[in-house]
Amino acid sequence: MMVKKVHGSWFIVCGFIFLLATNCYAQPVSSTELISSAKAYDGKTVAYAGEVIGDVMVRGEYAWANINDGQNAIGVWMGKALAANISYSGSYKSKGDLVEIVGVFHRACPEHGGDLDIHAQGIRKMSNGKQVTEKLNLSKRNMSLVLLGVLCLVLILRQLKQA
Amino acid sequence: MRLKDPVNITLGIAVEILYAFGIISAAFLVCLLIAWQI
Amino acid sequence: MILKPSPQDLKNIGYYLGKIILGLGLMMFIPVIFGIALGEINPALDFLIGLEITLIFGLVLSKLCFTEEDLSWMQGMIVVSLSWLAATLLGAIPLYLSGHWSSYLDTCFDAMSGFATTGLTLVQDLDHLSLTHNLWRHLIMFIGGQGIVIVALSFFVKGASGAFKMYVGEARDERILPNVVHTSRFIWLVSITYLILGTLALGTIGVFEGMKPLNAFFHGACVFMAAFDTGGFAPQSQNILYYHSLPFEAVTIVIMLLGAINFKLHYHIWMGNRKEILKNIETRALFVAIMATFLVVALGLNQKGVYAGAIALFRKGFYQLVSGHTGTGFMTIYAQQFISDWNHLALVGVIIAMGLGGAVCSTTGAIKMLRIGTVFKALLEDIKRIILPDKAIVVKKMHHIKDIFLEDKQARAALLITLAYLCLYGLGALIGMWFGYPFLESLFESTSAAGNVGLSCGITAVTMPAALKLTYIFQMWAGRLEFMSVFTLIGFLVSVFRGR
Repeated sequence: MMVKKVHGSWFIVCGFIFLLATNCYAQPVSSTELISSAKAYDGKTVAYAGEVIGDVMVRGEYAWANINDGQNAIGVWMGKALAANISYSGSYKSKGDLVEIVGVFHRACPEHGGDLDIHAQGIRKMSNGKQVTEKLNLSKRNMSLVLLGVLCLVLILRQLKQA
Repeated sequence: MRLKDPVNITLGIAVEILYAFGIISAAFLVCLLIAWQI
Repeated sequence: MILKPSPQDLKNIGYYLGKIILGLGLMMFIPVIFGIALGEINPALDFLIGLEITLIFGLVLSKLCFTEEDLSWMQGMIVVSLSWLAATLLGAIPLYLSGHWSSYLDTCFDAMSGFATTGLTLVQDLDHLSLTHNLWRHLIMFIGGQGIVIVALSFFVKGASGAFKMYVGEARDERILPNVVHTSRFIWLVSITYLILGTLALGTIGVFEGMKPLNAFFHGACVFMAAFDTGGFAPQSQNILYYHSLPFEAVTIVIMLLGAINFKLHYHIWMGNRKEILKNIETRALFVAIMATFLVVALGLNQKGVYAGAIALFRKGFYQLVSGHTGTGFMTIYAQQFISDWNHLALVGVIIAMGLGGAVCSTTGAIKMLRIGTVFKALLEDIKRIILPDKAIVVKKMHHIKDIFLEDKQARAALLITLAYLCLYGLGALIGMWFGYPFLESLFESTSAAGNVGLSCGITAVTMPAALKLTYIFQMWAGRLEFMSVFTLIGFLVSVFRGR
């Protein structure tokens, strides 16, 4: 009985350690922090989270995804398979996927011509992005109509003055 | 304004781009020299 | 005895100003149509409102001040300086309506930065800005780079001598063709030709580098406009770092350098005088200056040791340097990295490069190569005079399209402009320091603003004091117009209050 209990506890402890070691989704670091303390983070594994913006640029077996955490956007280099997880990227008409990545941070990546970047080892989608449908801004529409009226008035007055 | 000579214009564009490449090449040479600590 | 301006002065100024404002308003049709075509309705409305306000102003002004008289020098200069202020205030309206700027002042900052092809920006959340608004940001660089007045000259103003006075007031004092209207049309020809080539090149590279085709070509066009007009805005918040692409960066370097060439030189080379590119004092001076300042930057960066290897040194060191020297302002590093990854030596190299600039009558800003070349030749002439026997006659020549004898008059003009720019750089630096920013950074940002460059080391931010924003706006304006029209305006205002 005792032996079984000990084995059980060991499993739990080992499992916990295993989870800690592999599931490095610790507190994400902000982009501002990464950029300003780049020297300290250089070469270290970090967690970084934000919205995917712009195009996910697939290049051969890898891809670039620029991820914006509200302060800055940082380029993340990841394998094609990881990139395939991304469905939406942010622009005017869409909200991009919110993702969290874990990877090695580079202050001046030697592989990428000195770019400040993160080479992702894992990616976790926190929420899906979506298309944003524009709603016509009524007050702007009204203002443009009023101004159109004024403009026409001015044009008519000009013609009259000429005559 | 006789700008109807496309050959001259094309060659002119080529020459200007070459000038730019000249600067780029020289700069890259400097990079190589400095990187190799010459 | 200063005379108060006469009603005729005000009429002339008002009439031509009105016409130029009309031209600006018509330009806003482009984003309206673009917005409708893309289904970006609210942005299209923003520009419709801006267009209507601008047209109303232009129509009322040109009608109230209608005159058939031609412009005097003073009036021409004032039309130019006021046009730039009007363009800033009116061009900012549609941008402000987007909600991507914290205040109207911030929007005016970006509008002036756009027209003056600087590139410093206070935009918020650029990665979610509509394509319509983004198009305008880059279009105003295209317009401002040619010259707002030049744009108007191409289409509107018929009068010959008044047109030339405004042309000069906008810092284009090289007579390319005898007729100023033809000159401005030639400038457009060069710009449009390179626009087509540049957009194709960048767009194609964009597609190969993994961008969606529509995005690639939109970005290609925008980045071209910002590169050729040595402006420096880019469609995304990471500026050129967004693309992570050496070929893309290389093409932008070529375009930046093309934009830094004198339009007069473009004319002569395109007309068949291809050897001129090697003989011209400006192209030579530019080559030497870029190499010299890059050497300083490279040595500094090598000391600091952040960029390992030649490629990184090229893509980070040379890119920022050539971007600064041509007055573009594209960046492949974050602003703060100028402070953390560059040392003082490298920073000084960039500051000097920014302060020097490209050729005169190009889209560049700062002191410009013809003056630098002239000053150096004048210095050499003086040294020769001292070394050679007293009886020897020293005659200095320089080659700018044709051989020119270097006279005291030219040396004096070159030195005065150089001094004026140096004072402007220094003034902005002092004001930056007054607000608590360190010396080198203040000098960096001030030179960037006054030289219409656009590289930033981090001072330009929403949190910047309003007075500093106004300082940089003034510097961008004065630097772009090369002082004369701005001084004339100030003198004019003084005469309003103190004249008899």
